[in-house]
Amino acid sequence: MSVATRRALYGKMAGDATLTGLLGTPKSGYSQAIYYERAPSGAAFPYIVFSKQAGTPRYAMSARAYDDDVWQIKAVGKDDGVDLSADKVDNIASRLDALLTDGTISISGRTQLYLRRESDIDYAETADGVNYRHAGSLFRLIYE
Amino acid sequence: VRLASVKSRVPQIASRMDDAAEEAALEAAEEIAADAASRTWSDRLAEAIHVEVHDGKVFIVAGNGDVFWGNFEEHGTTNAPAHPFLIPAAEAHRLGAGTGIARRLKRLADTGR
Repeated sequence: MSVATRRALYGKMAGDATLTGLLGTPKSGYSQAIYYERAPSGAAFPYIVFSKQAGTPRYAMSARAYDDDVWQIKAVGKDDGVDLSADKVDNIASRLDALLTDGTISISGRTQLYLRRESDIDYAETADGVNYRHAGSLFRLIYE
Repeated sequence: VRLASVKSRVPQIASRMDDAAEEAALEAAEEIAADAASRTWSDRLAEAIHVEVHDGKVFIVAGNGDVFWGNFEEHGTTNAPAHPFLIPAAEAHRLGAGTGIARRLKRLADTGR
């Protein structure tokens, strides 16, 4: 259900040199530090994780009129000891907003109608004594 | 005569509008909270999903003093992918919630109750 939109979003992000320049070294076997749903074990920080948060088909006159998706796209950073991870992930989140809000993506077999940042994600996580930061947004994507 | 009748109900409707909107929003929030609870695998998290009202605004809260990890479940961590339960529930009820609030306000305008 998500293949075309997932690839379209990935292609948009991976094709932006400014965004990829803010990311860590991709894990072996990956061309960019942009991962779907979860990052592979041992991936270098910071990286982007994106996943589909909700997808709602809308119907009109007994036929599907359009699909209304919410995509979570966020940067994840690891506290590197000099406490710059917040700046790093915030910069990536800002670039994602600039790139995707009202940006054009190419969805195979479908037509994009709307793409905008809708709300922000910003939280910290501590695992095994290490601090991580997550920053990004929920983007609404509507396509027919 | 009809104009006078309408005018006389305006203050009554206006005074009840906030209450009516809050009642409808609460009803919609309870439905979304129940739906969200049904979408999570964790019984503890499901039981912790509840509705709160602060300053006239209605919130659906996924957590309590013991269950603090609803946010991690919804958005993911460095070790676990996101398992969204709240946003899909809100999305599924988005149109219905708006319609319910509009219907409640229309009833107030039509009947004054």
